Amino acid sequence: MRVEAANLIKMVRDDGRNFMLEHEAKAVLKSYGIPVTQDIFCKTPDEAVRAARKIGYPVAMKIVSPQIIHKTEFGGVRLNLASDENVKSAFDEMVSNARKRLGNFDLRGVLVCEMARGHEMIIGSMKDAQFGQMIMFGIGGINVEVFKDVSYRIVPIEEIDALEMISELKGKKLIEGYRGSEKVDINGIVSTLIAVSRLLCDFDEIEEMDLNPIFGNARGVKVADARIILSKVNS
Amino acid sequence: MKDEKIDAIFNPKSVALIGASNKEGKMGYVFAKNIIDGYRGKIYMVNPSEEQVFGLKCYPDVRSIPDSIDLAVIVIPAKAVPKVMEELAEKGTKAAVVITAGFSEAGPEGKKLEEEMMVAANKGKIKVVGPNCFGIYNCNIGLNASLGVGTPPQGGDISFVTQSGAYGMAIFAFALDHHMKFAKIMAHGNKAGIEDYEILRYLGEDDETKVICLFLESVNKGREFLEEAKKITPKKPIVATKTGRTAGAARAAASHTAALAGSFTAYEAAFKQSGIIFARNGMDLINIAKGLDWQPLPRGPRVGIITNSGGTGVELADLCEEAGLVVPELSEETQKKIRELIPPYASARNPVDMTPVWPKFVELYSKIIKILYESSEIDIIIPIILQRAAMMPEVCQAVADTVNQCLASDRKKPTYVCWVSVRSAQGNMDILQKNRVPCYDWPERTARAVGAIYGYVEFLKRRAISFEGR
Repeated sequence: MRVEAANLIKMVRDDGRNFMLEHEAKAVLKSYGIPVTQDIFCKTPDEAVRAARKIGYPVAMKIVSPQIIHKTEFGGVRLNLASDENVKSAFDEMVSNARKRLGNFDLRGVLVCEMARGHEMIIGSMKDAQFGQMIMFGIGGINVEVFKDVSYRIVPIEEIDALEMISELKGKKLIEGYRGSEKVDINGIVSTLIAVSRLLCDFDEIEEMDLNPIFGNARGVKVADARIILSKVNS
Repeated sequence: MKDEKIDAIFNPKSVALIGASNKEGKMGYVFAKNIIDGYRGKIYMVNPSEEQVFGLKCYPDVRSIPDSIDLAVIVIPAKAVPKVMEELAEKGTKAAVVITAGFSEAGPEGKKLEEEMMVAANKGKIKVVGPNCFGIYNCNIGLNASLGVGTPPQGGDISFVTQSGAYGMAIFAFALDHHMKFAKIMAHGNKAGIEDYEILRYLGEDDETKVICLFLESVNKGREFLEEAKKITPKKPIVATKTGRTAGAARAAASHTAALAGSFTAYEAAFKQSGIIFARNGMDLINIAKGLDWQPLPRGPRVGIITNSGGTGVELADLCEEAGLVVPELSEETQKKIRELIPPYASARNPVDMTPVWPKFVELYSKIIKILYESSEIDIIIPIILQRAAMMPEVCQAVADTVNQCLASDRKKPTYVCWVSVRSAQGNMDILQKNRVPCYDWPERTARAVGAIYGYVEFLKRRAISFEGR
């Protein structure tokens, strides 16, 4: 896993970037056994249609360009696309949206992704001057953004730390089957947190990371979007 | 293996005071007086303009001392320190406590001096405490190499490391006032030559230290600190307060001790995952340490409250629950035992409210404490000693005696007193605390201290770490 991730990181560095594109970031995660949505990288609308059929409708589509970090701001994310026509037109629309803002930009392609279902969660990382790599966990969009209901630990973490990260959140009730909603597989969250911790320990050059959203249900968790920022200088 | 250099700070065979003075009001005078007062090792006074200090021969410089030096205590002006440090290095001195201020905390010139001083110290592998610090104590050998007044009592087992000098010493004095006894104290100021994790490791291995208290403004080498703390907390508790948690306070810290106050998020995470008990302030730090030092650890969160005031009992119950504890209603069987003792209009449910029947206070406090101590429904006993009860020394004596009789038979649960009274009754609180029954002022502080102690127990329990006999 380490070698594979190191190769991916080197590839990004060689491309003159410190920002990993979504599919690159997800490949790193995958190499550490972290479950991610089924995604297919496509260069043309026809490829996208074939990919969508393979994954099964409905699908999500996201634009891939080193010039675009926040995809939604560029109209670069489309969800719940249910047909070949939708996929084709979404491809063209996303590209033309981005072109309006960026002109002749570096378009690498689009990502056709499985629509994951379940409770929304987030795992992130940041660096502290004294303590180094830290991992963050949060449940639910609003809980995270408005109420700052997140927990932090310094890596490496152990299973008990992961369990405590979950249990100290107010939003814990949401994933425990509150008012009949689906319970989330806690072991899946724990093993994902531990795998992310391992990745962070192995790569101090990961400056910031956002796995957001992650969807969790009774069968497990899946990372639907991932952003990894590397340190400016290769360390 | 104990760090030999840090051990030389606390257990030196010889101490040299650089800048010793006979002139009252001088730093060198205070330190000479303090060191001579209780320390029984060899003492060397150094000052070129004195013949004798406090009747001891005074040497013109470090080189003239006809002996090796374990610990040098330096109180001379900052600009003279680097040269003295070189001489100490040549002599093979093991450790130095630099009290003098005017180093990195004072600006770029001071920073340069500090670097020069450290170059000299590192050449001789001298372990440096400070500069810009209040000094150190080893209470159990009577060593006071600090600005603090007097030699504290021996026989203590709490050790205290403080980055803040004056506040740290005020916290220490407050603790002594509450009859707490300490083992080792270090105020390390700018921390130019010593890392937090090194001291932590030393105190973790120190048999004389049972409870570690930290007053932090910042932590250097956070990762190592976290690793050391993780090794220690399964065996002995660490209580820490961290100032500079907010942006405004962090600014003050930066100009104060040249500290880079890290974001509190990281500290909070580090404390949680290593089991360090977080104290919100200096007084909580001492209150928590007192409970840990004097009483066994609670086995569970269930609090039994004994009060003579319904209002205080209910307030304490609320605050306990908010602090993560529980105040369960007692079983009919236990209530029956209590009802046989209290007036018919009183309550045995929990809080047990005996009502203000002061002629019966001595009997009721003692008997109800015993009943709760023997009951399997309660893990923690909190008698509220309020107003008239606090003014009755015989009540305080009876509570102290009962608690210690219970502990002597089977050391199985802690008692903490919630004290609500006037200043004139303070002497009666001493009766309890001299007998190692911790008293906390008012329900809020009580609940916070007990909640924090139980938080540590939960940390141990979740990790299946045994605390049998603690």
